[in-house]
Amino acid sequence: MHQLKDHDIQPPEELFGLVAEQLKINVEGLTSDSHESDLREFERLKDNSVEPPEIVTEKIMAAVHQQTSTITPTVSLLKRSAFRIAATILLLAAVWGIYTLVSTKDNKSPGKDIVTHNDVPIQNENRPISKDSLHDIVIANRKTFRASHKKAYSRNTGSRTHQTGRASAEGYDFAIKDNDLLGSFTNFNYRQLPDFLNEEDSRSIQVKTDHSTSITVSEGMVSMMKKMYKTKRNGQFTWKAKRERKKLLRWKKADANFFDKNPAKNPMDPFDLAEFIF
Amino acid sequence: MDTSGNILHFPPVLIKQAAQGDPVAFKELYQMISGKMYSLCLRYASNTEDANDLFQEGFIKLYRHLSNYRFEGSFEGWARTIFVTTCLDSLKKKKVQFTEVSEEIALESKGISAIDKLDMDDLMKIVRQLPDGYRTIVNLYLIEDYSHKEIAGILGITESGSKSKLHKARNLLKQKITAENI
Repeated sequence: MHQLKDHDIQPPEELFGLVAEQLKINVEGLTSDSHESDLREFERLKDNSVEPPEIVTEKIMAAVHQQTSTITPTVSLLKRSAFRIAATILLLAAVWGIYTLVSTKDNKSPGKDIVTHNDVPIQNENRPISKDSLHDIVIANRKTFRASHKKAYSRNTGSRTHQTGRASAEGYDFAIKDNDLLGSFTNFNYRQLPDFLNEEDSRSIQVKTDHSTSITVSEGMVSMMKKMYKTKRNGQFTWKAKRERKKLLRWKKADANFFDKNPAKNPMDPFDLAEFIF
Repeated sequence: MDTSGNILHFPPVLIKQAAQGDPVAFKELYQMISGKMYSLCLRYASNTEDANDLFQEGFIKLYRHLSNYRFEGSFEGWARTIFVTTCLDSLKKKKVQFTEVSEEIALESKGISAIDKLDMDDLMKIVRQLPDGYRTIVNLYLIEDYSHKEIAGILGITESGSKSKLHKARNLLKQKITAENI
């Protein structure tokens, strides 16, 4: 360890400059005043000329020749620039056009209708009644969930709705069309989606069909309904929403097969409903 | 080609023609300037292979930017700036530590009269023997006439750092000059 006494480490060289600066010593002057002229000789190197190797010259000439063929006259460059500017403007115009078009579509999408319309299709009871309530409601008012699933409902075009009862759920009153409790119950207007579909957690709810009858909609079913109303940013339905809707349509078909074939059967009748369910 | 150190005159017509892609004009321009620029590259590079690469790169850059020359300063000065920048960029890519101490050098320095006896090739040889960091400072300050402020800006060091490095580079140069004369 005693050897460390004689050990020395060169400090960073900028420290010398900093120390000199603090001591107001002209670092340059330490050497330049007396001996600068000694090194002035090196300035001569600035004008020194060394012939580059022939192969290097050839390489440079080849590279330059290659580039020369790609050089175009200034006029041509100007023309090209003008074309580029024109193309850019056209492209921007096209993008703006598409954007405007998409924006307009978005305004017409169900999500936007929630804000702009006050219609309540399900509860409109003054319209003519036909057999299939759901599609008619869509035709009369294109702001419901079904309106955005035209393909799925297109098979029923031309039929009319029949009101076959009323029900309420969590304070929301709705008409039942053509004995289709399920379809009617799930055909909410976007603007008036009930609170239980907007809540974060799903919970079971009760649908009251009269003073003494109520149907409990399970937590799973409410969760499914919530998924059914999900939209993307552009207002289009998510694939999950579409999937849930298809599932519901399958159930509706089963419902129609059971009740529509026999007019005596009534979904409001607990026995008929129980028969359907079980 | 000029080898005497005289200031070369570059006819503007020649530069314009070369800028427009005239190979004959460019060849002529090349012949006029190549010797000095190659010498510059040899001074900055650590070996001949690197110097050749820098020379090529510099000339390609010069050719590409020829149309940007505004005929305001000397053409040689403008070309020299391109080559110096090319060389410094290469050194930066090599991560040369401009603030690193590479050798222990005695701070005491003495005047050297022997330098007068050295010819251009000897001077060139001595400069090329210097470590990268010192060589760059010597090139920029002693040969290219850059100020310490400019060097500090170019190399990303402090002005004091540039001064102290030059001081040490000078001492090293003197050691080498003495050794050369022995």
